[in-house]
Amino acid sequence: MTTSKTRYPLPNPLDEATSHSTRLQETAAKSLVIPQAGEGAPSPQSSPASGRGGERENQLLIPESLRESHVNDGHQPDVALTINGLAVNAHTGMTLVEAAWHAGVPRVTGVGCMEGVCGSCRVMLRRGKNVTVGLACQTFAEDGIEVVFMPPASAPRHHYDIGDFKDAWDIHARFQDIFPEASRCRHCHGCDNACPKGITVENGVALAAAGRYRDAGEAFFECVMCELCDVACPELIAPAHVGLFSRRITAHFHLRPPNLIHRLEELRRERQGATPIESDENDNES
Amino acid sequence: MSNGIPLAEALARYRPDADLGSLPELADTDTLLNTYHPDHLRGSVIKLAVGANAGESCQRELAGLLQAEAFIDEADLAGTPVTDIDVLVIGGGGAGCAAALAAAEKGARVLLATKLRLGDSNTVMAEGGIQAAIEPDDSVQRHIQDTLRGGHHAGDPALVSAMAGDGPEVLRWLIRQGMQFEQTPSGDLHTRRAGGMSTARLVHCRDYTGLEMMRVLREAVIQHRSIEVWEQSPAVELLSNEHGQKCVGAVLTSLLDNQLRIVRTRSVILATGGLGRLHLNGFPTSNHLGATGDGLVLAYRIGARLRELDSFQYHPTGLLHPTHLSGKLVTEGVRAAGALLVNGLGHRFIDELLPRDIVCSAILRECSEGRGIRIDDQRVGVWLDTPRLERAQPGLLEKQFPNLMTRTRVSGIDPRTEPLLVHPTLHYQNGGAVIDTNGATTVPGLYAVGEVAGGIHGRNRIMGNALLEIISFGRRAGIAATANRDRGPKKVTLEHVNRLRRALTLAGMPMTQRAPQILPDYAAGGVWNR
Repeated sequence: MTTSKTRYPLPNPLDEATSHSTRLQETAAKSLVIPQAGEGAPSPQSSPASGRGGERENQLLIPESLRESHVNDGHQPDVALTINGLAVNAHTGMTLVEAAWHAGVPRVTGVGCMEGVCGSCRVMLRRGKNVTVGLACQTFAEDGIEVVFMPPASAPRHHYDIGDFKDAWDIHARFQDIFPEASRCRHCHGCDNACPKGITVENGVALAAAGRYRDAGEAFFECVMCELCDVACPELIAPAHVGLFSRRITAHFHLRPPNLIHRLEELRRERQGATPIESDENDNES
Repeated sequence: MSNGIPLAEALARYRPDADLGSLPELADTDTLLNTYHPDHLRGSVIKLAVGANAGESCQRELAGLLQAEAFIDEADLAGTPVTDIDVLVIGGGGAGCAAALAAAEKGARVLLATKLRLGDSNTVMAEGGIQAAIEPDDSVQRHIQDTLRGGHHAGDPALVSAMAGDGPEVLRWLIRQGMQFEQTPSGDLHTRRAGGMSTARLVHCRDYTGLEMMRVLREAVIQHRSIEVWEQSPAVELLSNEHGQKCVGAVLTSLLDNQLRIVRTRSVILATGGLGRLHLNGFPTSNHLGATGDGLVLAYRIGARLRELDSFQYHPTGLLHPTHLSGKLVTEGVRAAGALLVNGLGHRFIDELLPRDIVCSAILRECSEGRGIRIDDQRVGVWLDTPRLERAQPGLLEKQFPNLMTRTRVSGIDPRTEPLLVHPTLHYQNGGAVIDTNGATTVPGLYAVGEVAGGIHGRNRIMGNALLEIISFGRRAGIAATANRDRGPKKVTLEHVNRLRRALTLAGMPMTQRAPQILPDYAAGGVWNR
């Protein structure tokens, strides 16, 4: 393996010379070895494994760099934190997901995209007396922080089938039936504080409760369905689902794009084209 | 081996308003691909020894998994609880949800089992958009031609034309489910032209197209009365009838309690996605945690034919920095909007909107010939010139690419003033299970849809066809799977596993490795252990 002498921390090379990266005293959370085509490099790092059999160690490069044994040439982990009750060490610049893997914390399977869009890696964080929630893949390891990976969300309590909605005039009434709690917001800001995306959740719910579904849906545009606001709401409003309802209703009833509709009509007539009726319609087709 | 231009020097040379010079002539595409594309790395491809594709080429690490030992045998099935259902969907991404919804719409009782959480998938990360021929100057025929050409004519024309023909109807179905798209002031769906397209055909929801699609489908599945969802339930094996010839169910495990469960069914739809997390050839990946190629392993073991097992897509613009996002994508939409690729000398080197494999090869060429930007001994990349784009179209990045802006903001990087360092990243499995236009594999009772299926993208997928494929074929398979109205399986066995074991023994292959992989090794702190 030509690969790694990889270890932590790699100094952030962008720090010195540039305006890059003001915050991150970056270290290599994962150091990748990128095969360079040419220079005889193509296969060596992966070649020992014959492709079958169990030489798993040789298959993956990233995991190796995450293993303790590859980390200790002079650079010790520099952050001490607690994950799911276990005291673990990590390196500055690691996300909490990487820190959990690095330390081998068991039962951390609530991880998905690792770029903050799937909403799976919900964590509760405690710094001293300050308790917050967030996404583990978007939070960096820091000294003394206590982290608990939260269990998956429970099944939703509000039920509807968008196929049942026939008339947009009825929607506001339907909404009140489906989400009766939405108009009982007590403005505690729990949802706003919980949202890892900085969505103005409370305002979004108020807009929906006032029947302004397009605006409400727009407020939830960055929602990743982590449902942390649902957890935070003492009135059980389920804001994330209110937001998604608002977005879905807006598209379902109001998105009627002419270019798409025209093409659908062309295709419909083409399908009928086998029948003699459409003989003069070919002129209209592109 | 580090060659390339040191970062400080490259930065000193970089100016967002510099004259980039003229684009060099691209002499010979084939030579470029053959020399630099990772699929052609020496030693990365071997011949399969057993199974339906014996004698054919396959990427080496994948071959190891396809020809591996199973985790369970008959003894493990005794006393295992059994669930009977009409249709089993394995995989909770876009393809799985579309298949489950289509089957449920046809009146079937559906069980959707997914390894992680419903919606944990590559779908949710898709940023660019979905292709559909809806503009007046466009046609389904052109869409078919672009797709086949982009795939180097290795795709199956019947599958491609089925998918392209579904395009407009897929958009309509998605809107009916409640998915929003970007509109022009006059209310048309906004389209962009991206790599490999002959005209503007990419419909999108800013740069959150996949997220918007996934959260809508996820909600639709959760709300549906006849779909049951099992999360944290990866499949470890399929089940066959007593002759090992037909797929009649699957064995699932649970990441929560490690308990095996048997699901007996008439049809199984594999929608397990790709294999980026195998880190083929040592590349970083854009894929989500669960993308370990399990579906290919299960399908191959039960006898399904696969195709293009030596062809993978490396997305040209994976982030090189910051490290915790390494391998994650900068959407091709940014290039479609006008961002250029610039090497360490401050020169353009390739038409940014050529097909992905060519752009990827060109970046690797720049890096290996010393014109890349070197961060350290191992990391070399090229600039994605976002500041120039911002100068040309102020406000565009903030407005159209909020996802990119949010992600980089966490790391203190501002693409409006600083160019991004990018390098190709393992992105997509071009091939997969051989299917027909109903998504049916060569094994009766087994369907495959989405990234696990092959034949549509040939040897290179063009942008926006993945999101179209998962809905188009997801729905086709969901509908076809409900057509089977027989009385269900009499007997569920592991006959196909025994068959593969015999073949491995005859071929003198070791059976030390077990598959499917379920989770990457570095995430094995989960309960999954072998």
